[in-house]
Amino acid sequence: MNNYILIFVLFFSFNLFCQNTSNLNIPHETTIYSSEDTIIGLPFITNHDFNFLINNSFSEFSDFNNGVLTFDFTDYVKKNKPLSFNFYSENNLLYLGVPKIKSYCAFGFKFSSYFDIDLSDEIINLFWNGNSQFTDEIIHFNNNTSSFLQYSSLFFQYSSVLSQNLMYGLRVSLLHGVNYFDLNKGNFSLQSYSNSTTPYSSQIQTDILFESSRSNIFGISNPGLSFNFGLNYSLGKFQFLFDLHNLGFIYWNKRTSQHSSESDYLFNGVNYTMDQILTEEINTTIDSLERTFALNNISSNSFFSYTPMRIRFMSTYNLNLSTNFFIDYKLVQNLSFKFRHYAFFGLDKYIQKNTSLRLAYNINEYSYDNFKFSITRKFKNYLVSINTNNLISMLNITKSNYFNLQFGVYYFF
Amino acid sequence: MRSKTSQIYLPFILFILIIFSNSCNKDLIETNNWSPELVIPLTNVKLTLADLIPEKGSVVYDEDNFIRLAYRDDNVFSFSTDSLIDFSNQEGISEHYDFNELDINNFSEEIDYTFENVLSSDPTIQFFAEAAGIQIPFPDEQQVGGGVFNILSSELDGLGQSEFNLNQFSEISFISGDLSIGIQNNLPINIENIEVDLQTGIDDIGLLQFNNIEVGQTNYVSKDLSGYSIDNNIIANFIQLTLQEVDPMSQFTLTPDTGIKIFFLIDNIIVSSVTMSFDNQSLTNYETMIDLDLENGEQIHNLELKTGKILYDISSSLNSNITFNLSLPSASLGEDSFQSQQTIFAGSEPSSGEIDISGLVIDLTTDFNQPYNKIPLIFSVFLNSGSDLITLTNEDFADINFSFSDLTIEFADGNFGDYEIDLGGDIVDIDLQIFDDFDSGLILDDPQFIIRVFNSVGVGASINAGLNAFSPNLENAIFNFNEVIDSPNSFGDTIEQIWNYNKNNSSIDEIIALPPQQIEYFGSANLNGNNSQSVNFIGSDSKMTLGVEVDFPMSLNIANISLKDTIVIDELENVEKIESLSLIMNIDNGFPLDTKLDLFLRDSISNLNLDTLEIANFSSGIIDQDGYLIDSFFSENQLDLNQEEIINFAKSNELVLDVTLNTDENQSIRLYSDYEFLVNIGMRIKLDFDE
Repeated sequence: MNNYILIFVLFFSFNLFCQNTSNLNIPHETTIYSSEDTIIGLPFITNHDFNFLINNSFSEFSDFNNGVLTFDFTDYVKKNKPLSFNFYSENNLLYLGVPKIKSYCAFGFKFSSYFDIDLSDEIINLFWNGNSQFTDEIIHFNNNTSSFLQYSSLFFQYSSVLSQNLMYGLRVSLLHGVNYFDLNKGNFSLQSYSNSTTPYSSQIQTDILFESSRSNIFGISNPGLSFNFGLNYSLGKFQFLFDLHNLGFIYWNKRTSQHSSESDYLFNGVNYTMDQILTEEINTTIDSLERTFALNNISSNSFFSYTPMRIRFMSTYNLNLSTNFFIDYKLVQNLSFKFRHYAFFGLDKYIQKNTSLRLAYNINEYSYDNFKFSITRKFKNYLVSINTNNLISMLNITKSNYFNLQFGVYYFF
Repeated sequence: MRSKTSQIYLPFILFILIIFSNSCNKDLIETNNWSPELVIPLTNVKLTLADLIPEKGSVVYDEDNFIRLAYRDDNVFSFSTDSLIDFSNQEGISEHYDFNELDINNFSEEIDYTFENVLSSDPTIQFFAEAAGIQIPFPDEQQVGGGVFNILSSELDGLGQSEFNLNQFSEISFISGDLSIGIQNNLPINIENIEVDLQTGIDDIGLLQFNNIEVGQTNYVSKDLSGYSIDNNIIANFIQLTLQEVDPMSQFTLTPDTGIKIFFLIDNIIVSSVTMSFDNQSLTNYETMIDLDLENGEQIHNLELKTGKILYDISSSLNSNITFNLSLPSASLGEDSFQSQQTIFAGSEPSSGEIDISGLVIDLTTDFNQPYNKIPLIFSVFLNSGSDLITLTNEDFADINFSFSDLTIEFADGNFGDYEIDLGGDIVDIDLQIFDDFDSGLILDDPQFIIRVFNSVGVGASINAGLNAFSPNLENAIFNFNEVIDSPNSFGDTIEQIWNYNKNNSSIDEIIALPPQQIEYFGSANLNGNNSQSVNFIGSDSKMTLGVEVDFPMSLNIANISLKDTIVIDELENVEKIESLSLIMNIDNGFPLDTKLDLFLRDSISNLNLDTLEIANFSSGIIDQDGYLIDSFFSENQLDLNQEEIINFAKSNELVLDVTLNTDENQSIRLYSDYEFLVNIGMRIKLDFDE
């Protein structure tokens, strides 16, 4: 996989000095985007942004060799590490930007997906080593959550100049929720007794709650609304950008359900007398356990969920006509309302006016050795951009905690 | 341009390939060092003595759950009324009748032949009569002068002929018969002479002459009809009528009744053939005695039938209805003596029927020479044809059969005699299957074998019966029973006699210790009817039964019991992923016996024992001197299964729990069904999911 990406980047780099154009900003990057051109995003591949973030690299519990992916949590479990995985993608499928006098209007259609999972070290240990190690101890398996969100949005964006130094932008998005799953509570405890009447009788407590909804990709059955808001202030060679994305909500109304399991059960095994049929008793016991720990549908009420918000602060210093130094700080909210922090330090470099490069060192709470590489180039009327926030992950994804890839294609006229 | 377009799409295509190229290939995902060790509470098995010695067949539990082998059959041997006196079907009458000489009832006929008929039978005479002043037809009364009669007498050479029809028969051929013809003179003048020629459609009877018949008198003339055949169309040809000459001047009164009356009488009739209508013509009538056919010399004095019927079938060449009367003078139904009248068609095809005689009370002592078993019977047959003419010849016949069927006794008394009844016998696989589980036989503290007889038959008997028990090795032990059964004093009473056998007065302990697998039983009863001081009796509900009762309390003083129970399980899959398996057991032995527990891993399809897991030996629960359990015995055990045993466990579909129970020698114990053997099993299993 890494070889494909490397070839692709090199191929792209060899063409850096062959073209000539000036406006190389990417329309989807900020809410204050403005241009003198009418822009159409190439349908379905207008702009795509994929982000994976994991608290530990895959190499800590997996190995990919000779086309075989091998999982081994042995050492991982010894370190008592939880596992936290975050993914989101924003896939802009349609885009039309129209310039106005001192302003710019844009319309588009986007599909967004978010997935988070947090597994405690205890549950990974239980999964990998079994429950024998916990005999006679009460073990709580808490802080296990998982969320999944998909929605589509139809947006209108307007950006304009408030004053000579101040620009603003506003995006209003009409949302339609497609899938939602949120494990609000994923807690349970287990205690097996070696000295009980029945050896290893186990006390099991559960406290699990999740809610879900789903709908067709197109429709208005799960409506929502979100806003983006951006400001850019120029002060000499400095520019300051504040950009707020996805401040909104979705009202889930279609096929909604809330399930919970809140039980406290002492499992003593299968009770069997000789006048019974063992297989039937086993099935009866299994049925009883299933009923006890079933995720019962407690309601089908409609509910609200907030869209994961992103906040960006960026400051740019113009070193010369073709070079900018920038500091970029992003807060990316996940479905559990926690913010992931990303900080970038780097340079923008314009080459022959039709190509720009952006190189930056960036860090986040799980990865400290990330190098951003972004290149944007105009091929006559086409603007093509590709960006990764962690170039190293492209070369060896299994050793990375962070993977990011963004690319887009636009037509200017 | 084409290459540029490719460049545009290339990133997207590459990304899709990178992301999804390997994601669906399961074979390329493996695990390493994934071998979790799990501890699981597996099962809690409660094994009671009730499971091992279930309450079925001969095993019963007392209210306090004490186990005993009990078997009771109150009807091992029995005989009832039917087996004592069997006369359900008896021969009755079987008769053949030939009608070669039939006694026919007398025939008689009266015919009025008026003077008016005489005068009007010939136009010439009528002319002369009218010319002489006689009014024809006759008024109620007219006076005629004597001269007229003198003239007419000379003219009445022939009065002509007259035809008479006799209604009682059509044709008749006489073997013998006497014809008497009488002429009564109802004329006002004496008759000097009448000559009558009688003819029939078959034979002519001939000329009959009557002389000097005075006014109002009747003269008879006889004729032997033997050998004659006549029909009922009789033609009387008056050849000569001569009146006595009277005073011409005398006046004589004539009325329409004035004339002569002819009497026909045929009696003493014996015919070879007759065609006539029959009214209660007797065909046969006789009395007889029916002697009951009883096999064993029983002498019945009085009999009341619970059920019974007389079957009859009749065939005849007559093809006519006949009526028969059947009466049993010594039998009564209610307060009336029994008699029955049946009318059936007697044709060439037999007609049959039945007469219900249920409830009939019969005195069988009416015969002086044999005052028992005899039933008098009176039987008569009549022919009734109504208005139909029947031809009866001396070649005609009738077959009549009577028999008695379905005779059952409501009550009978008499002397039932001395004879032997075979009570039968059989070889049975005994239902005391628990004996199979006792490897070294079973020695019980207090086995009881009880024989119980109920007798409501009014006759005593001697019973000779026995049991011959066989062990699986064909060793045997015999138990004999020879006892006298008494008779009840009166009808309706039942006597009960009980004989109790135990270790001290029989060989019953030898039978138990075999242990018995089969028991052959046999027996006979010798009735002692002649020795009875009073009359023997029997009723429909009377019976003599012999039953046995087995009572083996499970109080043992030595035993080596091997009991098994089977647990059906599903075969396990992915057993190769099991790295190690240990069963941790907490066992609470509430059996009052030392217990050895083995587990046979069986494949029922191939009927193979794949492996034997020797789980453990457990000391018995604590028992007191009387064999009662005071407390259970608790122990902890662990059974580690090796790889081969795990594989065999997975292959098996039956777990046979083999429980061997032992007592110490001379240790008396008592078995209760609620004694429990508890096995609580937990499992420690280490799996290896690596591929």
